[in-house]
Amino acid sequence: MNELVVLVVEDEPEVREALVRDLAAITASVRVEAAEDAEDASAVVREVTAASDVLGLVLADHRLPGRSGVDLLVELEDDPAHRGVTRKVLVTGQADHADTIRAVNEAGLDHYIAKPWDPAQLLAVTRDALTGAVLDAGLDPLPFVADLDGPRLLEAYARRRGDR
Amino acid sequence: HSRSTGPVVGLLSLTGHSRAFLQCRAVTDVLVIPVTIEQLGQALAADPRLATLLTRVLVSSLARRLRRADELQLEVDRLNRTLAAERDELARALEALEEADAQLVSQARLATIGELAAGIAHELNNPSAALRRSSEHLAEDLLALLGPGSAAESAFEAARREPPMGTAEARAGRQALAASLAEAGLGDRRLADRLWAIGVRDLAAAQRTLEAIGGPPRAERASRPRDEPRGHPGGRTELAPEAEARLQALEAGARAGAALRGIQQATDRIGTLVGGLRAYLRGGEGDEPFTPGIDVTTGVEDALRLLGHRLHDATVDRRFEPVPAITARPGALQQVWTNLLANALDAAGSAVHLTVQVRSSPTERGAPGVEVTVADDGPGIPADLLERVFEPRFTTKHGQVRFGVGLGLSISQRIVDGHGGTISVTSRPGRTVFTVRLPATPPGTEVSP
Repeated sequence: MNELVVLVVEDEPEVREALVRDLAAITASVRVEAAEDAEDASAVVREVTAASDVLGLVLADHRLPGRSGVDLLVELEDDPAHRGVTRKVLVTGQADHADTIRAVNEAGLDHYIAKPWDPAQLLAVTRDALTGAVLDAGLDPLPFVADLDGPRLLEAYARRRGDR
Repeated sequence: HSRSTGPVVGLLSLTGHSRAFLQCRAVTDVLVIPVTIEQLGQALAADPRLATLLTRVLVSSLARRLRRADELQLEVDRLNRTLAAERDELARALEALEEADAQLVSQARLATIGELAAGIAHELNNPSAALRRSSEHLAEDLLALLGPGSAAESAFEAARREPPMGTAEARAGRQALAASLAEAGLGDRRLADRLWAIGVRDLAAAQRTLEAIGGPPRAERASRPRDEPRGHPGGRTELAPEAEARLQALEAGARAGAALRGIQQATDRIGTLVGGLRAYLRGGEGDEPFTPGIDVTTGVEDALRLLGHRLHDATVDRRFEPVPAITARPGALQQVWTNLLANALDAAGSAVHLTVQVRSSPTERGAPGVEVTVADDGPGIPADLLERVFEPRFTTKHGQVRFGVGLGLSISQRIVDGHGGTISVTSRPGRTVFTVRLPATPPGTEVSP
């Protein structure tokens, strides 16, 4: 299907819904999925792989029941289906020094947003991350111009047309 | 100095045939007869009896010197022993001082923490109550604004009352809805997601809603040119403008309901946490008065709640039986429960299996009382350390600067003692149990009739 997907991983329902809601501005062209723990998150990733969609971004909390957010991101870094495309961002108040270092060094963390998050910052980071994912995945940039970083996408589009 | 020297001064220089320089301060009348070695030699030559006399005097002088040396040696030994004893006493005094200092620091900290907790409890109480009331009022007024009986109102209420659903279940539901919509030719996945968000859970409800907003969508299949790059989302269904507007109104109502649900749940949680601090409302440990009618179970529950963030991965088995109310200092007791629970977590790790029991337990004299036990499945306390755990400064948490610095249990014991109660521990690998027994009426708190 080649839809662009954002995965939000957060165990507390009110926080999860608030995160999803704060991403409403991009939902015209991007699908937002939510998972309440690492296990469900892995299930979503498998579904995305199976449907040939593009997992553009994972926004994960660190403190989850069972496997932690950082563990999940480290696993994702090794996933051949999404390596090089999926951006990884921690949205958390409870990752300590060691966890954060691990996320940066072993999971290729792209950004760290501390809770409570600023919705404008969340949206900016998301747009920027997804723009990179769209380009790295080789998706047609046009459908995403309105929701993501339009100028960057258009420039890429122009270059691509110019190469033809 | 005659005790040391005797009547002959210069004995050493005589034996060493060297010159002597002497200084003497007399405290009595003294007759000094200086004799050079040559003169001594002449006198000895002149009268042989002199040699014997001289020898006798010299020997007795030497003997006196020797005796004096022994006495001095004994004196030195005695002084050394006294010194050592005083040094030991000083060391003990220093240790006692350090201990007292640490206790003071810890008590000051406890008092400060108690004050902080009391301050927070007081400060948060009002805003917490205000949040609760305001969110209720907001809900009422939103309903009025949305229009009683309107579709938006139903969407609002449905979202507000929605029971929590796991993400996996919700996702499966949305996908099933999308599949049935697609099969019925009513819409695509995006429309299914939008309908799900306003409370549509099955095909029938979807059909009703789509009719209510003004008819099913026009299906527009975008043509797919052969060289269209991948990623183009084809097959998007679009609604007629009026239907789109009505759907957006429903979505706004549903979003408002979901947000209000979030507010009310978060407000409840804050209220619960503030309630957990109720034990501190009467002030910190220092000046907290004994209060009758305290429910121990509530205090233990509050401690569990306040430690909630550390008990995230733990299993807590609560065994609470009805217990009599007791006279106690609730803030101080709360510190005991918190200390025992925190110790269990530190010993057994965050995935500890805790068993917390509260039950009625009469004192030896048959007066009413309460027993609280905290059991964990950690590695246990070795038998030789078991009797020392309540000592001040005893800690096995090496190298870590933690609250209490080994004083937690000793302070807990002090608090329990102050309540006329007892605290004890049994331990083997896999099961450590701390038991606190409290009388309903501590000595000295009886209310005179």
